[in-house]
Amino acid sequence: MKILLLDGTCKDQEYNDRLFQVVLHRLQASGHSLKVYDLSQLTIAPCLGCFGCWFQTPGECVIRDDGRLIAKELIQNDVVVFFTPVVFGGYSSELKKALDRFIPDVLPFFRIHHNEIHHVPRYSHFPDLIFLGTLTEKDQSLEHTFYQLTQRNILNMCPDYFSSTVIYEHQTGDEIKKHLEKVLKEVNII
Amino acid sequence: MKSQIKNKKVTLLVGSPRKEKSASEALGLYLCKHLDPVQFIYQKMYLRDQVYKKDKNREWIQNILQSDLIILVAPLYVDSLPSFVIKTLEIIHRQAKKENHEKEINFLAIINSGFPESFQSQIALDICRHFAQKTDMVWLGGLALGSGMFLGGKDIGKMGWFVRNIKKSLDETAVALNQGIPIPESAIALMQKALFGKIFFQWFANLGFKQRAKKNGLKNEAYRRPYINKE
Repeated sequence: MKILLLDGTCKDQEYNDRLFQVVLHRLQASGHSLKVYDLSQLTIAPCLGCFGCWFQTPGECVIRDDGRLIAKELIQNDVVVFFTPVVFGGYSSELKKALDRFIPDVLPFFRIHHNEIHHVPRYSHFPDLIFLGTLTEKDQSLEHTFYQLTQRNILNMCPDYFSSTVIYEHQTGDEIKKHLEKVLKEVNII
Repeated sequence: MKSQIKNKKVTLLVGSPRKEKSASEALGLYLCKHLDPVQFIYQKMYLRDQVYKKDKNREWIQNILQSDLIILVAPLYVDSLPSFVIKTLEIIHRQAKKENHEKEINFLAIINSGFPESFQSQIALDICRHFAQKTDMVWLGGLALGSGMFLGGKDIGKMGWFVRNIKKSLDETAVALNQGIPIPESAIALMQKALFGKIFFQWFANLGFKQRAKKNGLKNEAYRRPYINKE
């Protein structure tokens, strides 16, 4: 199994580093192939909203930077883990800059899916997804929005399995690992 | 909700990378032009230009933090705000907390999506609401529009019957802002009214996409899958 871990930690969110290391070590211990990208170190320009990935270079963004690499990796792995601080209930700008460049992986055309309009997937299969949010402390309102956002992403990305959860700064390594067991089982990593 | 606007500086944050060609700008400008000109003076910022500018002093952020009212208008990108809009909110929040900013700032957001159902933008509005609350701004509410792509960058004031509910919604919002009160429920409901039914939208948009692909010399290439069987 090939696992991709996208680290959306921003520079000023130091508490994330310890949490990230726990997640990284647990994924490494799973025995699967693991590829990790620190998104803050990649050059990913914001999506131009030009639709060039649909009508000029179908399936590939017109911007030749690391955004293309991420769009490719999203298709070529079996499981993708999005690791992000929960920012106002959503993803960090670092993770979002990568996700916004996912558009080449869908077609421009629309379909009705779960009684809503969504884009037709370009590929017949999308990796299973894990959304791992981090917070300094419990915040039900932010967590609710985060969970709802991941639910909407699921409708657009259509993985077979997914899991979404939030871990906290105050949790010990063992507590986080225990928390992760359930998540990894939900996407059949263990 | 404490929402009386006492001063007059309005900052329109355009969160679309398409800038003046965008539905975001069209919506924002229509609203700003309908604010009471005696009470309000507005300025416009294209966030994509600002956020990557090498400006160590972050003068543009200081400028935003001097506003009495911030109007954010943005497209829906992958169920949320575009990355550079989130980055802007992160920077504003950080700066406001660093300075222990005390000026009362009112904040409202308008999200337009390419999908016909306006509810698909609700999460993006929730994120804006959380931002306002965490930054100690006064959340005046949010408007969500579906099928926004059909507005393009056109002047909504010059458009006809097709956009009547959008105009009414923005007119009601402007009246509320002139009175210093939050966006009324009726304005939110008017903006939510679908421009098209789902079935018609699907047929019409797909027809347009097929014609555009054909015009670009694409047939089956439009469906190509460049990331299959490649390492």
